[in-house]
Order: sequence, then structure tokens, then C-alpha cells
Amino acid sequence: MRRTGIILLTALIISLFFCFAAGADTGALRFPPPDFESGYEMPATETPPSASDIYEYLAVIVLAAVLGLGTYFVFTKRKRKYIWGLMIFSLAFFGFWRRGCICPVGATQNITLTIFDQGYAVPVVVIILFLLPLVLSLFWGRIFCGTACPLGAIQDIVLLKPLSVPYWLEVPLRLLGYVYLGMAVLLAVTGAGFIICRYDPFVSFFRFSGSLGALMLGGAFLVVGIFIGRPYCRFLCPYGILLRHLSRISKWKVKISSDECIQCRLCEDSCPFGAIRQPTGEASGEELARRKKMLAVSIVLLPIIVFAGGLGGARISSLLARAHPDVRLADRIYREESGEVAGTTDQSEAFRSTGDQSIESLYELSAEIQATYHQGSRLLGAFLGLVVAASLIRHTVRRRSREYKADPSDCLACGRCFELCPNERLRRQRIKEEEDLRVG
Amino acid sequence: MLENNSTKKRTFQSWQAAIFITCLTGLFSLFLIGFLSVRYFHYSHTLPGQERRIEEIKSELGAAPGNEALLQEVRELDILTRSIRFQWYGVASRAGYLLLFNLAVMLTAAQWAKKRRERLPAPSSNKKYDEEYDSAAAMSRRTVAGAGIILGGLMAAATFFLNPAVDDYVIEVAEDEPVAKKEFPGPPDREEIGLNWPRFRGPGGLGVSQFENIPREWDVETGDNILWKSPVPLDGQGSPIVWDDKVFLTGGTETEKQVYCYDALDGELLWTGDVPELNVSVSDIELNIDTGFAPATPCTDGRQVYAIFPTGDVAAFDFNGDRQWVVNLGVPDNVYGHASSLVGYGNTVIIQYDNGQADDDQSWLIALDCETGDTVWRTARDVMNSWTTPIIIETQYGDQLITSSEPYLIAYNPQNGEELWRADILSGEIAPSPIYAEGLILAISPYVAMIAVEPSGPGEGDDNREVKWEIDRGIPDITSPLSDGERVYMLGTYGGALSVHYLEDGRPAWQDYIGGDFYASPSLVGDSIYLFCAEGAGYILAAGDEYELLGQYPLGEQVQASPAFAEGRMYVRGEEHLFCIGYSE
Repeated sequence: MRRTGIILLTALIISLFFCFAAGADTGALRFPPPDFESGYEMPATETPPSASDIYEYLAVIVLAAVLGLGTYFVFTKRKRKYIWGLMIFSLAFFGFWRRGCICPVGATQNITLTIFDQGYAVPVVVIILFLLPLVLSLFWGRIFCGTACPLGAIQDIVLLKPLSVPYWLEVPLRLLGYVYLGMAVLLAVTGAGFIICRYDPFVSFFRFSGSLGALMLGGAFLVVGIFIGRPYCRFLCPYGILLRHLSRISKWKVKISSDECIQCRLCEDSCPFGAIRQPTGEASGEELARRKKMLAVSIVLLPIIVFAGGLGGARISSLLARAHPDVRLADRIYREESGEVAGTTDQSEAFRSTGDQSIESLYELSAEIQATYHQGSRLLGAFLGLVVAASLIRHTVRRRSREYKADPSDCLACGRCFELCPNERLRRQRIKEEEDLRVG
Repeated sequence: MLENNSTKKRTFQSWQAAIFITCLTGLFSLFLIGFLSVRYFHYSHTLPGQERRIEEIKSELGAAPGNEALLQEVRELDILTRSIRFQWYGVASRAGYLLLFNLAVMLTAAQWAKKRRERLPAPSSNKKYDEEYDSAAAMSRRTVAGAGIILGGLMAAATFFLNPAVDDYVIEVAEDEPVAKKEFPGPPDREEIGLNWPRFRGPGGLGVSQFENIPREWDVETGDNILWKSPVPLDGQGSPIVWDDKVFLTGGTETEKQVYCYDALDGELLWTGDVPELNVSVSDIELNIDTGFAPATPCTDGRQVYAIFPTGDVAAFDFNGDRQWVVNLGVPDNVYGHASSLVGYGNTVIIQYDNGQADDDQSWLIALDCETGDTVWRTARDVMNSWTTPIIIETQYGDQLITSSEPYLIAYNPQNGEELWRADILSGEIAPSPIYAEGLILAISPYVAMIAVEPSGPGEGDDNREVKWEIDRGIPDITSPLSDGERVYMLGTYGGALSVHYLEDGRPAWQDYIGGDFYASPSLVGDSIYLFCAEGAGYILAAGDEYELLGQYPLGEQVQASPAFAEGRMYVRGEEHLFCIGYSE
């Protein structure tokens, strides 16, 4: 029966995005105006006024309230059902009502662009939305992920048959998030676009509209999400990367057990996001010696890997520069001019017909952008090299732990592990008894 | 979830009910999806055919415009297509929300069932933490290293298999196959210019028609001597200009700037050239409503037509209407809005771009390359904002470009913008442009004075240059003066006060009131003076020592622009139409 439900859900999700795709397809069609013969003058197209700022401030207030409540539920009440309820509210409010925008995840790009482009002003609301979860994570970890993020929530509700991803696979998969973050920053800085928003896999569902590609991407994430807990959050989310690192140094950390861990191992597989770390046991002398040697090698390798990454990044700068529309246009015009390609594209046709800019100035602009990409790609490559090298070092250093712990960098504060901990159950029982006594 | 025997029966029933609801809502959702898919496929197969048919009918109607059967068919198909589309949108929207609700119920039920069926895990007893931890760490190191290598490999592979952007932009052209570059023709000579009306007030900017066979009477009611009358799409105060068989005009609104080309023979609007907004919009500038959005007159050199707008945008179009270039001169600071018209000289278009106060360093005389729009030279001017159009005069010292703005009348070398001489003789908000007659430059300080100055050579004269003569009666504030070689005529804006003085010494000849308001400058055709009042009437007067009205002919709409003349024709811009007045034969 349970298997039937999962199959049914999978079939539904697959059908769903094809269904939305149909809708999105029709939405994309231009609807031609009627051809009047009576001299009727078509009314001028009107642009609706932008939504009132009050909704933006409302979003900030609601986010602050959700984060506050979430912190209370995770650290004081320690009950999954409250956290789940808050998560569903966030999905409804930030996802379907606010249509997934603007969110702290995408705001990463706005903030980046405003840092590098003096001409780009970012509203205060966006800055607050971006900073609020980050600041909170310095104190209480990734409360935002577990309670307020609609992208995480939509994945969480489809998680029915969680499968464990081996740690050795989880670690390299997380590197994808760094690549995505690096690319998002590079493209935002160069003005090529906001890829986090453009490739947001779930925004099409929130808006009931989107391209076929976007819907298929979102559908794929949801299908995978039935078995793998929050794949987007764990392996791709750029904002999650920031939260992960800040949570590592958070003042208060989510604890599985409200008391001392008794190593009952009931929580061992309770986390669908692979955040629970087992006790490490005692290392043998031979193992410690091997690790020391590897640590030394890793430290030596670090600058080499960073340098190699920088070189590699510089090599693909021309390739990455194609992400910029002006570079693509210049490229196309060049190939058309040199006879390398025949015919024109809509963009090259438009460029030629408007005549706002000469071909030479377009080439100059493209060359300038590519120079920026050359520097940016080099930094991106070096950054990725640093991430790889740091990960190698991190897994060389042997940490010591005698109990089951939620890794603060990976813990999404969902509260699932609380429910299986005997200490937690005793705590709840004690609270209940005290309340009964007070009532009595 | 921890369960005990006492609640076993209840929980069994609840998860079973949850599974049932999951299946029920799931099936209903599948039904909705199926329904939507069927409708979609129906829609996507039906509509394209109908839309194709509509396009076919429209093509057929092009060949047979009056075919009533086709018209009926296209109307019915159009309505049908639209109704199907809107029906589909409505269905898709309603079903979408229903689907969302179902999915929400289904997922909630599924999660509930899952929670109710959870059992406590039963971990094995023999656990070797140290081995597991060390082996996981070792494996992780290997996979991270592997991922790094794969990442590097992908970077390397990408450079080999994907096309990088071109970054050198060198177009290699075989030496024996030179790129055929469209040759830009040379500028017209004086004779060619003299046969046309290429700028504000014609050749030299004097308002003197070189053609004498212009009708002295017309009737818009009967159409006598009205060869054609064509609507002008957008408003503008700029005057028409003529080159061969083409008449050019500009028009604009707050959001649009356009250049129009009419067929001089039949008044057909041949093309409309749109000037895009660059970095200055109308909201960025001061603009008096009376100035309008297209107050300046364009100019042409027979190769291209050039137009300027109050936003400081200057554009060039070839005679086919293809825009060749557009540049912005910077945000103008002009209390009524920039209105100085363009002047062509050789391969340059010269712009008197006066802004702000005299000491604001914002006023410029700018020459743009006709072919590219690039700045050829640019000379700073210590004058305040003005609305006059410069004139280029031939003197014994060579060509001189004369500008008038408070406080200076300044002469420049039109070839390089070098200042030749200046006279500190002007004051006020100057709109009347200077003229040149019988060796005298006549410049106006509105309401205050008309001053006659002789041009001099480079470096001669100074700020206190002695004027030839000066008069202070009947001085206009908007219209430019006119001379017939013996007299100078000045037309006041309000009441139509026409003041005439002798050119030789400035003594008064006569003055009379025509009535009406005048914004259009007077023109001379042979021995007649043509005036157009704002109320929409043309007055023909005899040029001479006394007032003699030869005729008064209504045009039917307001006129604020000065007329343009061609062989046997006169072009007048009304509020809504461009009129061609000429002899029918």
C-alpha cells in the first residue's frame, strides 16, 4: 500500500510538470490583437503599477516572525510537528502567496551586484531579507532552512521514502553548491544575469507558470526528493553554503538529545539530510600517524590546488563569458560578419536594425566584459580549488566525539531526530508531569 | 512512531484512512492532469490550424480586399479562435488551483500515513565507530579528490569541445577581396544647396525664397492652389525643409521622437524614422509646453537628414528612412527647452547647444561628422541658454558662422570652430535668429534692440565693437527678421506689428498692425512678403516703402512654423497637416 502511494506520487509529479508545461507553453504564446477595420484605436498598453512596498515590509516582518517562532520551536519546544506546521505556513506564504520572490536565496545576487556595481541600488528590504537568516545562523544555526525557506519546504513535503546518501558521496556532491554559488556571483558581478532566480527549480510551481525546462527541472528535483531529502538544499543551494559556514560557528547548536547522549543509536538514521555524526571512537596510533602525514601533504597541496584552479578558471573564461548576452551577441555578429555562419538570429537582427550601437563598439564592449570574466573566472577557479583543498584537509583532521551529534553545518533544524531520542521523550514526560502537577 | 497495544487498533485505522485519502486524491489529481492534457492537446491541435487559416485569409484579402465571404469567414474564425483560447485559459486556471488543493491534501495524508506507520529502528549491536569513521573519512578524501579531478577535467574538456567567445575580433579579409564599403558621397555644393530649402529659413537662414513662382492666393475650401494636404503624425513646432522631391519634418511626444519624409509631389508619407531614447528622457529636462517636443527644424545635405530634439538627441537618417546614427549631446539645461535648429556645413552638422548661464560652462558649439555622428570639433561658449539658429555667411575673410546669445554675437570659423570675433551687444532671452543682408549682420535683443554689425576678420574687434546702427522700436521676441536688400522687416509676436526700417542706416520706413499672433518668421518671395499667423492665416504683403496687403488667405489650422519653398511650391506646417501650396499645372 505504501509502495503504491509512492508510485502514485511519483507518477503525479511527473504528470504534473508536463501538465504545467502545457499551461506554461500557452502562457508563452503571444496573443495577437484583433485586426479592426472600423478605425478603432487600440488602447495603449498599460503597465500595472508595482506592488505596494507594504507587501515587501510585510514579507520581512513575517520572515522575522517565522524565524523567531522557528528558533523557539527548535530550541525550546523541540517538537517536529510545530516545526512542520511553520514550514507549511512558509511554503504557503513565501512560496505560493509571495510566488517565491524575493527570497534570501536569490537576494545573494542582488547583494553581490550592488557591491560591485555602484549604479545598482538594492532595496533595504532585500538587504534585510538577505541578512536576517545569516545573522540568525550565527546564533542558532540553519533555522531558516528548516522553517522559513519555501524551496526547502516543497522538497520536505514530498520526502516519503528517505534513502541515506553515503557520506563519501555526500561530500563531493556538496561541491556542486560551491560551483553554483561561484557562478552566480560571477554572473551577477558581470551583469550577465541572476542564474539562481533563472534556474530556480520550484518557482514555476509557485507561480503556476514556467518554461518546460524549468518545470522539468523542478519536477526532477521533486521526484528525486521523494527518496533523497532536500536534494537542492543539500547539493546546490548557494545560500545554504553561506548558512552552512556561519552555522558552524553558531553560538547555540541544535542538539539531538536534551541530555547526555546514551548512544542508543535510535537517531542514527533519523536524519534524511545526513547531518547526524556518529561518535568517532578512538583512533589507533597508526591511523593518527597516517593522518598527520596526509595533513602535511594536503597543506602543501593547498596552494598548488588553488593555483591550478585559478589557471583552469582563466582557461575557461572565454567560455564563461558567453553567459553574458552582449558577449554572445558580439560573438554572433562576428561570426556573421566573417561569414562563419549564415543567416541571422533574432538578437543579431534586432542589433542591426536598431543601429543604436556600431559593431566596433559592440566588440569593444564584449572585449571589456571578457576581460572582467578573465579575472572573475580566475578567482572562481581559485575559489573552487580552495574549497576542494579545504575539504581534503577537513577530512584529514580527525575530530573526536563520544556521542551522536547533529553537524551544525548540515543540520536543517527539521526536528526529526528529536522524536526518536529517549532523553527527549523523558524530558517531554517530565514537562507533562510538571504541568499536570501544576494543574492538579 | 512508538505505539503500544492499547492504541494499535486506532492507529491502524488512521493510517489506513490516510492511505485511502492519498489514493483518492491522487487518482483525482491524475484525472485532473489527464483532463488538462486532453484539453491541451485538443487546443494545441485545433488553434494552430485555425490561426494558419486566418493568416491565409488575410493574405487572400490582400489580393481581394472587398471579398465579403472571406471577410465573414475571417471574422467568424477570429471570434472562434479567441473564444477557444480564453476558454482554455479559464479551464487551465481553475483546474490548476483544484489540482494544487488535491495535491496538498494528498501529501498531507501521505505524510500522516507515513508518520503513523513508522516504527522504532532496531540498530545492530556490534558497531565499530572508529573503523566506520576512519573509513568514511578516507573514502570522502578520495571522492573529494576525484571530484576535484573531474572538475578540472571538465574545465579542460570544455575548452576543447565547446566554442569559447571570440575575443580578438579580427575579421580576416583576403587582400584581393576588399570589403565593399558603401561610399559616403561628398557634401553638396552651393549651387545644389541654393536649389533646395535645406535648413530653417532656407539657404543662409535668411527666409528669402529663391523661387518667385509661388502662389499669392489659395483657398483651402475649394482646394485652389492647394496641391495636397497630409496629416502629420506627431506635433512639433519645427519647420519643414525640402530637398529635391522630399519634404522633411519632425514630431514628438513625451515618449516618441520622429522624423517624417513626405513625397513632395503627392504628400505621401514615405517613411517615419524613430529616434530612440538614449540616456536622457523628457522627464530629465526642463521643457515649456509651448516649446513642444520637436521645436527645432531639421537640416539636410541631400545625402541624409539630421534632426535634433529637446533631449539633446541628434539623429541622422538616409533618404530611405534608415537611421544611420544617433547621439546624445548631454542633458540640456534650457529654461524653455532646446529649440535651436541644425545647420549643415560641408561634412558636418553644426549645433548651437547653449545651456545654463553664461558662466556655467555648459554652452557649446558642436560639429558632428555627417557620416558617423562623431564629434569633429567642439567649442565652449560663455553665453547663456538661447533658442537662435546660427547662420553661415560668406565674407571677404572667408565663411563665418554667426551665433547670437546673451551677451555676445560671436563669429566662428565653421571649419574648425575657432572663434573669430565677438561683440558684446546682446541681452535677454534670445529667440530671433540673426540674418545677413548687404554686408550687415542683423541681430536682435528681444524687445530691446536690433543691432547691425559688420563682420570682420579673425582677431579683429573686441567685446566693445562699434555697431553700424541700432534701433529700439518694434523689436520682436520670437520671429526672426527679414530683409529685401533695402529694408529690414520685424514682426512682433502679439498683434502682428510689422516694423520696417531702412537697411542702410536703420531709419524707420513704416509700421503697421496686421492683427493676430505670429510665431512663424516672415519670408520674402520676389517682391512679396509672406506671413503666417498663429490663428491659421497667410498674409501676402508687398515689399516696399508702404504697407500694402495683397491678400489674406485662411489655412484652417494654426501655424507656428515658418514655410519652406521649392520650385512653384510652398510647404506650410499647420497644427495637424502639412500643406503644399502651388500651382496645379
